[in-house]
Amino acid sequence: MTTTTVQNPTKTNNAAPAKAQKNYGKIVLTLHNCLLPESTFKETPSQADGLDIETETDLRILGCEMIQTAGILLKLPQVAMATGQMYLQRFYYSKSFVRYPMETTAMGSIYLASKVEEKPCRIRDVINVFHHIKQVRAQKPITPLIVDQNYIELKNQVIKAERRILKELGFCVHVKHPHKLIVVYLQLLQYEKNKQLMQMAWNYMNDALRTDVFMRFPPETIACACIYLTSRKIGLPLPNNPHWFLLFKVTEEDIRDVCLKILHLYKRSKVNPEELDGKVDGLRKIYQANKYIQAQKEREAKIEEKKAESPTASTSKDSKRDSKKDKSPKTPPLSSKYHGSHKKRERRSRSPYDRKRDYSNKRHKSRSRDREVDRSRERRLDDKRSRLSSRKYDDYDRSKARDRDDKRKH
Amino acid sequence: MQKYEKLEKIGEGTYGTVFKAKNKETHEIVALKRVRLDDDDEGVPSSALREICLLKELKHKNIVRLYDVLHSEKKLTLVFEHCDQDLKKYFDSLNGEIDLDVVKSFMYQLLRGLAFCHSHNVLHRDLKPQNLLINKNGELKLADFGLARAFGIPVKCYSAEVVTLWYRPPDVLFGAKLYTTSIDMWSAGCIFAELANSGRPLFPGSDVDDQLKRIFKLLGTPNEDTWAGVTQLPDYKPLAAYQPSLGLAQVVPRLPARGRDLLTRLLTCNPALRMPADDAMAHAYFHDLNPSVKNDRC
Repeated sequence: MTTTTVQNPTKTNNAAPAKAQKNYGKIVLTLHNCLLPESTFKETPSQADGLDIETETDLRILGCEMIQTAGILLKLPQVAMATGQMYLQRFYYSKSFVRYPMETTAMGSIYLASKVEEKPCRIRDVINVFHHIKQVRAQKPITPLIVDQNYIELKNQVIKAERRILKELGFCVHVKHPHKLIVVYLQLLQYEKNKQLMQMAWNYMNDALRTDVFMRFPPETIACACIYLTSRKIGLPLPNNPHWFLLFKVTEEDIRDVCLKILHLYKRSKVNPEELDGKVDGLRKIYQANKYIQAQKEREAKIEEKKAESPTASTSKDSKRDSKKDKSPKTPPLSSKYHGSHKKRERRSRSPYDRKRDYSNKRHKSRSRDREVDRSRERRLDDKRSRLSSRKYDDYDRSKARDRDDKRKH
Repeated sequence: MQKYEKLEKIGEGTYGTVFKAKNKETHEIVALKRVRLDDDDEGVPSSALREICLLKELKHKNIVRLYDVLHSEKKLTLVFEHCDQDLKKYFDSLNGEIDLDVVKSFMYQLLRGLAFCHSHNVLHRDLKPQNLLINKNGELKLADFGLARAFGIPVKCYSAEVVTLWYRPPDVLFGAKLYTTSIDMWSAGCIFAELANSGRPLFPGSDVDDQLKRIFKLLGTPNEDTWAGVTQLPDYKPLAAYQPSLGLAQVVPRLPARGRDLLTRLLTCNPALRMPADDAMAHAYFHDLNPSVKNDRC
């Protein structure tokens, strides 16, 4: 079970120990769009899994394109498509394309967005529409989707994806879109009658959803950039003394940044879905193999640890416990790299097995006068162990990187 | 989940069971609302989604606090601040006599919670005594945001299927889809009258027509003169033209004149003329409100 903290202050008020507080990720709570720090863009989770930046960008563009097309086919309002694209983009700044397939996340995004924007559609329709889009794209004959085990499986995947998105976004699902800002700004500039200006600015805005500008700049900047870009394109001079965008507290530098990012979009060659799938599949296989190896390593390490720790392990009770643990190997935490280590610590210290071990050890210790001392020693041992395991996890990351390099050489 | 020890079942919410529970670390009593997900094949219910998204934004003394959301394989658990009872149960325990100072205090707190929601662009859309929680200190908190929504400007079309019938304003009964904060103010007015009558509902209609009839019998049937555009509403139907009965003194006999004035301003058929929450808080009725209630900042 993982926890998404919704409120931090109360936690501190209750004088909870600092350790307990550590378990929660801090989430900034506003109705404004959350912007990500520069470092997030340099090393995305997908890149950490060995995906190159170009492929990642292509995957983002393709995912957004699918959401947009699906939304049109599902007759959703544009705001739902825009929201869905934002979910997809944000999600993959905290999770990797290698571990979570783009298509299910895209389906989950549009499905969740349809609910949030109060035009709910059915999962079944979402799946059908994606099936249709893929057939059209591959220029295959259009055949209806058969409801079979695969369909049920896929549906469950979409439901899971929806919850994963909610969890990763910390339920911050209300997105502030700059669309209406464009209208307001153009009204202020008294250009609201200029249909061409308005429409083109909107088009740029919808295309901009495929870039990362919504995670980098506030909606006000993006709205100005879309107007700016359009006015250049159609050769319509806007007030420049003082500059019109200063009215909305936006700098020309930021505007230019956004414009460049939008224009870059049009320079990219068309994405090839099959090629992208191939790349991601390759990396996913490596990741899964690594995961398996890692799980096995951990299991072995655990057995060894136990042997080293309690030489009396040959008692029937202990061996039983070992075999029990073997049956349920702990896979490395899938959910989150960042929370993984202390989550593990928490689970460990709460495990009933640990307590049992406490007692069995004590029995051999001829009833020490000071139980507290014993307990604190145990606790320290526990801590040491968990630190060990977290280090192992780092090693695992590094080994993965090494594997990746090897692979590249070949 | 291990952090909480379940104590007892409190009730069934719109989308799940509510339990009273104790935080094992801090010994704090909380309410756990469990959202079952396994047999529901449409993912996270929209009402749960709304409740979480909005409540986590709304931190106020008169709004129930959402502390935490716990994810697990099969369910989602919302951890709420625990309150002793809801207003409906409170009414039941009264034996028909309510202190007028309590009426004033509850009404003020209801308006303060609403004003906060409205200033943060959130409509509650389902105000009724069951959704107002009362704790031992006489604090009132808005709860159950399962129907709430954030509204933007320009306003979009919303669903007309909101608010329990008895607390539904005439414009929504006529099928209006462009309502604003005024929708909650009508409900607040109905609750005000119910408070003053120690829990007797003001307009307990049996269906939409009966509901409209009950409202217009008391307030008079609106026409284009009193409410421009009323005949253009999607579900408008001409009803018997009742004259305003001016019988508020008979309907809420215990309420003083100022209170009746406030009630009239809240129970205004024309949504454009209905009093907003912050204006209502400044109404003369509250001038002699116990300062400890008034100054209680969040």
